Amino acid sequence: MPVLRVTPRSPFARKCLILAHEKGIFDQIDLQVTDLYGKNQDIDDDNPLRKVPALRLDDGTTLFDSPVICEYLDCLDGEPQFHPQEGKERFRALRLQALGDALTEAPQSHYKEVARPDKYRLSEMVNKYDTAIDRIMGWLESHSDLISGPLTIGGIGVTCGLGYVDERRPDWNWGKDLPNLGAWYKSMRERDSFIDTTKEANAERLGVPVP
Amino acid sequence: MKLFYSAASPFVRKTRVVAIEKGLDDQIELFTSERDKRLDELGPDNPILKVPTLFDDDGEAWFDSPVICEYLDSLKPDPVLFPKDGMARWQALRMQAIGDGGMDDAVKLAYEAARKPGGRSPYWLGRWRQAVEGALNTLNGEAESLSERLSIGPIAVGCFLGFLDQSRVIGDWRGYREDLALWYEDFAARPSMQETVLKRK
Repeated sequence: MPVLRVTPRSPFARKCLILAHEKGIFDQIDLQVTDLYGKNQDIDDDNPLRKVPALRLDDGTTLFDSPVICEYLDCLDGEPQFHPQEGKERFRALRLQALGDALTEAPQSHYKEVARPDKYRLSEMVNKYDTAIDRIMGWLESHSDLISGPLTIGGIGVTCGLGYVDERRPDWNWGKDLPNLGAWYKSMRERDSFIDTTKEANAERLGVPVP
Repeated sequence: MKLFYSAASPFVRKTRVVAIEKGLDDQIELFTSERDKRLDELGPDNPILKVPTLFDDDGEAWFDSPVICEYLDSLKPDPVLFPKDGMARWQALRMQAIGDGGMDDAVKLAYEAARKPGGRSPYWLGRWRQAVEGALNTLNGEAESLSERLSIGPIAVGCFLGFLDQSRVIGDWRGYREDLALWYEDFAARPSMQETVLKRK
């Protein structure tokens, strides 16, 4: 069985987990918890860029980053459901995934900048990431026709991005200002694939404390 | 088509190399603007505000660089830069991820180095450097597979190495990585690489 290197809270690992869940192949992947910042770091065995997720195949090949893993998993049975195969539909799904990934990266970078000691922190960087979150969510609100419709890897990516904004910036309260996006996200949050991949659910599955 | 670009971006270079290898470069017009005008230029179409952004003939905007490259690849059958399926596809995409990931962290190193002295985080400088060095070590071990066939994998790796040469963010990367250095010497001589050499801002 392929082994997915994860942490309970990684939003990019979650994207792979949601896809596997939606596809019904969740039980065909072994999960291996990964220590990215502590004393037992060994991720570079599987990914020289030292990031999760990484997917180790039976022959020892490791795949990354998350868009590659998601497409690989979706194609395992030869019938990809979340990656349209041709035409603009395909590239619209991939573009939406890129937006979702950027939405995920912004609070991640924000968090890392805020966590720096004072002398290494730049307030303009902190603000830059917040502005990016605002701009991407505003764009998604006004283009909600691009996320409604059949679920693709794009919608899964955006869900992970919104989930991670909620996780890192619980005070943001964006739902009331962005009703279209808020309503769509509410329906995504009710899916089993979302509920079963929260950091709490992941921690329990991996047998580690909730981060 | 129109490509919103910067002559200093290795991610833009990737899309330009793909366009040239596909024989599509004469159908693409380059344009740019000052960084502070990007919100007006790109905001309505690409809220990430990043180069490269490709506008197709219908005016639809495409990003990020892996999406643009695969889109360009789909416009013409040959040469195939994104193998359609099987391990060839996953190996090419994995290699692209190493090149792109290496570029990402090398760009972060460059931004960190641009902060004022005393304001650069030793922790993050170390962490990003470790990732860049790790990517280089892996690539050196896989240099043989880089020369097997042209795909998006070697193109991304070539643009990563070109950025290291141009930015000098980790000094000399060749050192003991002879196999990778030899591969790059060949690859960098391709017309598509020669025509897109990075310029400093």
